[in-house]
Formats: sequence, C-alpha cells, structure tokens
Amino acid sequence: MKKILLTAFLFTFLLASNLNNLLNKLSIKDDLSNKTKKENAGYVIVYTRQDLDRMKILSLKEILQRIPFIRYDENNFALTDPFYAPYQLNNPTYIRFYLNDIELNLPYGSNILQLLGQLDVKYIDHIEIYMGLPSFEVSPKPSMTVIKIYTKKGYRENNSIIETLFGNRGLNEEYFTSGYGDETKSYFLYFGNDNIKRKNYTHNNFSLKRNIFSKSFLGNIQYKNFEILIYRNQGKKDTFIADGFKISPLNPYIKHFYNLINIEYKKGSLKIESNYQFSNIFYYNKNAYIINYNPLIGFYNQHSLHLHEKTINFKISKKFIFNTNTLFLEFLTKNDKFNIENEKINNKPVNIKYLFTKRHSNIYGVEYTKTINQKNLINISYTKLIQINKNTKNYSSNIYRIGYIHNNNNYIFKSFIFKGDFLPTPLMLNYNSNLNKVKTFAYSFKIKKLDKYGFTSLLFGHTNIKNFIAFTKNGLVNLKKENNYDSISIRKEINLYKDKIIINPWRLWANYKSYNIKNIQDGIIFSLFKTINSFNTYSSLVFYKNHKQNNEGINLDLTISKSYKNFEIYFKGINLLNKDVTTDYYLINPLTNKKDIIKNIDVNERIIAIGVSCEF
Amino acid sequence: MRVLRYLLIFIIATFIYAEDINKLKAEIIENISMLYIKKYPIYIFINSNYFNKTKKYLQKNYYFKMVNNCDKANICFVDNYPKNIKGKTIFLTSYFSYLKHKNAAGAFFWQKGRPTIIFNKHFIITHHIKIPKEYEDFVE
Repeated sequence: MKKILLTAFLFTFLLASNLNNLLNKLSIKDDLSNKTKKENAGYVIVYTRQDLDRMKILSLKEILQRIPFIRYDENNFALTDPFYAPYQLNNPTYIRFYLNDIELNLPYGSNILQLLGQLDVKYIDHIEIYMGLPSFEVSPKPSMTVIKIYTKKGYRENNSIIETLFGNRGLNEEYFTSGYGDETKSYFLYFGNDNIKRKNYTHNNFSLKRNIFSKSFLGNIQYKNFEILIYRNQGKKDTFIADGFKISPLNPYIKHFYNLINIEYKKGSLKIESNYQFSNIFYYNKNAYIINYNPLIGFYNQHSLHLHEKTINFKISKKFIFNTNTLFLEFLTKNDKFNIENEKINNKPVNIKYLFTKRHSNIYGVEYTKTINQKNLINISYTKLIQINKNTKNYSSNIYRIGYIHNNNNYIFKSFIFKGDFLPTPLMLNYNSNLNKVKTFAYSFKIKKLDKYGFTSLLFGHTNIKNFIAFTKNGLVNLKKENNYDSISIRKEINLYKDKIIINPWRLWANYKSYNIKNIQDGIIFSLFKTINSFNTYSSLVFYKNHKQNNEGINLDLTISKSYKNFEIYFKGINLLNKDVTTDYYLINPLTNKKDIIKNIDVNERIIAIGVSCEF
Repeated sequence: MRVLRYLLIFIIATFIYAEDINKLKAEIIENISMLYIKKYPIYIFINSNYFNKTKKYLQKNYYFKMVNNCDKANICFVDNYPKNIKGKTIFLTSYFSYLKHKNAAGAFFWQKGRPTIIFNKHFIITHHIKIPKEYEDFVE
C-alpha cells in the first residue's frame, strides 16, 4: 500500500514540477539582476542575462538606442554622445555610467561613454537603466539617465569561452572570458580585442574615418566579503571631421587608455569601497585648412595634446532599521586631478598654463523610508554635495527627493518630486569661471498594472532646467530663460515561458525658452525574444522622429543563434533596413561665416556579422 | 546599495521573493532526491551555501526528513565532499568540488549564467538508477 501511495505521489509530483521547468524558473528568479525586486524600485529597465545572451549585443550603442527619450547620436569626433549639439560642450552629468556600482568618470568634462560606448561588452551580466531625474537612489548627483552595468561573476560562469566575430567592412572582434568559483571565492577574467571598421565617408576628397581599434581587460576576484575589480581599456579612434574652419581632416585621431582599480568590502548592510581611476587621452588633429587661431602663433592647422585625468574615491554606507523606519547613510569623498600636457600647435610646443587642475568633492547622503502599512511607503532623501575647486570658485549643492509608492498585487503607483543641481565641469569652467550651477526641478509618476504574463506601465515626467549652460555669441554662459521637458512613455511587456515581447512608445516635448523653440520627439521600441525549435531569435524595431528637425528613421536589428554541444554560432544584423536616423555635421569658418556641411551620416550604420563561440 | 532604497516595502517584496526562490530550490532538491532514492521518507542532509535555506520547506513535506549528519542521510547535498564517508549518495553543490570528486552522484552549480544539473553516468549505472528520458541531457 505504501509503495502504491509513494508511486502515486512521485508520479503526480514529477508531473507538476519537472526539473527542466524548475531550472528555467530558477534562472529567471535567481538572476543576478534581482529583476523581481528592481522592477519595484524605480523607473528602471533591466536587461537580464537571459536577454543579453539572446541579443548578443556588440556594444552599449544597442542599449542606448532602446532607452525612451534618448536618440543614439555621435559628435563630430564620432564619439558617443546622445545629446550632441554642434558647437556645444558635452555634459557628462546627463548620462552617468556605473560599472558594478562604481561611477566611471573622466573628471575634466568628457563622458566615459565616449570612450566605451561603441566597444564590446561581453563581460556584462546585466544592465539597469534608470530613467528621469528622480529615479535614482540615495545620494546621487542628478542625472537624466543612469546606466548601471554589472559584470559576470565567476561563481555563475564556471567555464571559459573563446569567441570571434567577423562582419562587413572587415569588422572583427575576439574575446576570451574565464570564470570559476563558488559564492565564497571566485574569479572572472575578460580579454577583448575590437577591430571596428566603420562606414567611412569622403567629403571634397578628404577621407572622414571613424574606425576603432581597442583592447580591454577586466578582472574580478571575490573572496568572502572582499571584491577587487580591475578594468583597463586602450585604443585608437579615428575622429571623423574633428574640428576646424572647414571639413578638411588629415587623419585626425585620439589614442587613449583608461584604468580602474576598485576594492570593496561588504558585510550585511555595511559597504566600504575605494577606487582609483586614471586615464590618458592623446588628441591629434591636422587639417588641410585652418583649425583655429592662437594669439601667439596665429592661424594653425595642426594641434595635439595629452589630457591626464585621475580620480580617487572613498565611499562608506550603512543602513539602520527601526521597526517600520529605515535610515540609510552614505558618505563619499573624491579627489580629481586633470592636466593638459605636451600641447603642440603646428608641431611647436606651446606653454599654456591651466590653473584649474584639482577638485575635491564630498557627498553626504541620508535617506529615510517609512512604511505606513503593507501597501504604502514614503521616502525622503537629502544629499549635500560640496565641491572645492583649486584656483576657481567652489560649489555646493543640495539635492532633495520625496517619493510615495503604493504597491498591491495588481498594480504599483509611484510618484517622485525632485530638486537638485548640475554643477559645471572643469572644462566648462576653463571657458568661463563664473558659471552658475544648473538648477533642476522634476516631478513624475508611474502606474504599472501587473497581469498574468507581464505588465503595462505608464510613465509621465516633467523636468524644468534653469541656468542651462550653452555657447552663445557671448561665449559659454548660463542661459537666462529656462528649458522645460515633458515626457510620456507606455511600456508593455509580455513574458511567455522563454519568449518575451516588449512594446514601448514614448514622446518627449521640449520647450527651449531662450531660443523660443518648441520640439517634439517620438519613439517606438519593439523587441521580440523568441525561441523557434533549437534557434534563439531576437528582433527589434526602433522608430524615431524629431519633428523640428524633420528627421526620422527606423532601425531593424536581428540576432539568430544556435548552440551545438560546446559551440554556439550566431548571426547578427544591425540596421538591416539601412533606414536608421542620420545626423548632419558641419564646421563654421568664423572668418567668412560659411558653413561646411556633410549631411545624412549614418551613426548606426548597417552591420552584418557572424560570431562563433567555443566553451571549454 | 541601490536595493536598500524603499526598504520596508521591499522587505515584503524580498520576503515573497526569498520564499519563492528557496521554495524553488527545495523543489529541485526533492526532485533530485526522488530520482536517486526509491524509499520514503527520504533522509536528507544539506550543508550547502546555496541550498541551506531550503530546509524549512523540506521539513514541511511528509516524504522528506532533514538530518544533521551525512552519515544518517540517504542523500547529502554538500559543497565539499565529506571525508570518511562511503556508500552514500553525495550530490555536490560546488563546481570545484565536482571537478575533484567525479565519483559523486551528481552536481548542481551555475554555469554560463544558468543553473546546471549533472547526473554522474558511472554512479547511475553502478547503482541501477533509472533516469527519465527527459533528463538524459543531464547525464554526463
């Protein structure tokens, strides 16, 4: 009788919970991104390991194209810059970039995405994208968008992979990853070699190149409560039309290396980390025509320099819980150094003294969270940022945020009010040392309706920016009138076992009062992850339209992959329709006020590639 | 530290999440145990960083009994292969341990970002264990 009962039990049990199903469920629930929790956290989009494995992204460019309210773009040096506007400085605070919760930065005034945005990222486990000013956690410096990437962990890999990829125009990339260990001790290593042959152009017989050669290393060692992360990237980039009075480049380029070393200790809610980042960028520009004018030398057509940047960070944070109250404290201290050396004009050394070469910042963050009951929560955070600049004026900033979240089984409602400042970069202060901080105010809400197969969400945000920094006839100044942005995004996600569908239309209304310009930008992001027999497929269509510029485009990406034993082969197509949105570039000759324009440049040119990986 | 925000609401979310995940892990232990041990109750010993929190779910099930010693168990789920123990069904939960002890009954570990189960072919043959067809891919 017992045997019959046991057999019956086993039969029904095994039917109900097949090991294959359980492993699938576990791989989703125990994903390192903790997506289940993150989706409740803020205005966040998560690309999980499962998503990235199927997308086979070649670079972060593909992720940037799929963030609502952003259009992927590149500047006149062919460097990643989604907010590119001709003759305006890049503002690195608009998009902040984190690697394993460490903010990567080039303190002088560039954005790290300019160096890394187009490179291979096979070391990534998952990506979190926080949208909108108030969406990020305690004690941040404000940012329109925060991209956080997390590296693979040895204890989740337990393998070594060698991979190669070949594409049109001679594109070729090689990577090696190796990671082993368990949850107490593990390591992960990554080596990457990128030879990115981009679509180049010719203008008035001048060759405009955008090729990239790059080598990267990432090492991560974890032992009990300690973790060490080392990252290095070095490379050379052809800088397209670069700079000058006319488009007449003679093979300009930048060479760079960037290094990061981070040590982290984590025990319970206590986290202590310290990191050192240093980079060296060699900029070389030569034009057939004039580049610029120097009072001592006159007009010149060759310019080169080394930009050295260093950052040392120390951060400590701890959380305290008292019944239904939580207090989170964070302190960060940061030293930045930057210097321009070996500057040459027309191959002659010039001795320009830059006085502003050091900056010290302290950030104090406190966040209080009160749970009113099981469904309602309020959250108040305050951050104080003090910036001490050598030989130029100091800044301080107060950042406030109040949030309310209602969460039940069927829907989640979130609302935030935010007030804070963007501080000018050292590069901006070298143009104008009297710049005021940029003041921001934002409010937003999101309603998310959960259903059996996923969710539907509606996000609305309003952002007001005062003292916006821009070049005008009077040089680099704070604009007197404000900018207003209203944004709306509707996102629908359907999860069906291994398949997933994402539909995300969005609209952004911008009102630039100083220029008396109103603009509307529209976008639709559609992605489909589907398994067909033994093939994994990913297809994605991104539509973008800028009403004012009358510029629109559609981008179709496709990935098909198949595994066989230890091998995987995949086809990757980017901008297959060759109809993605393009950018016009120009340089102005200030002597004649004549514009030299090159139109319809593909920033996301068509790529067709085949990759093979071998696991051992 | 980003998770620490909105903490209390997430205590609830985390609790539900944690419950789910450990329940899932417990179901994996139950499935594997029933494949290897054909009598009940099945005595299980667990000493594994990844599976330790599944014990409370397994204790609730009439067909499984938790024991404090691998000696007393029918099947042991452990990170490290126990010394001086012979004739037991040892299921390893660490990739490194499995590499060192190929005589284990099988192993669970994460590989390439996914959970992986291996049933040791030699152990299965010598112990006359029947593995269902749908799990043949796990046999190595």
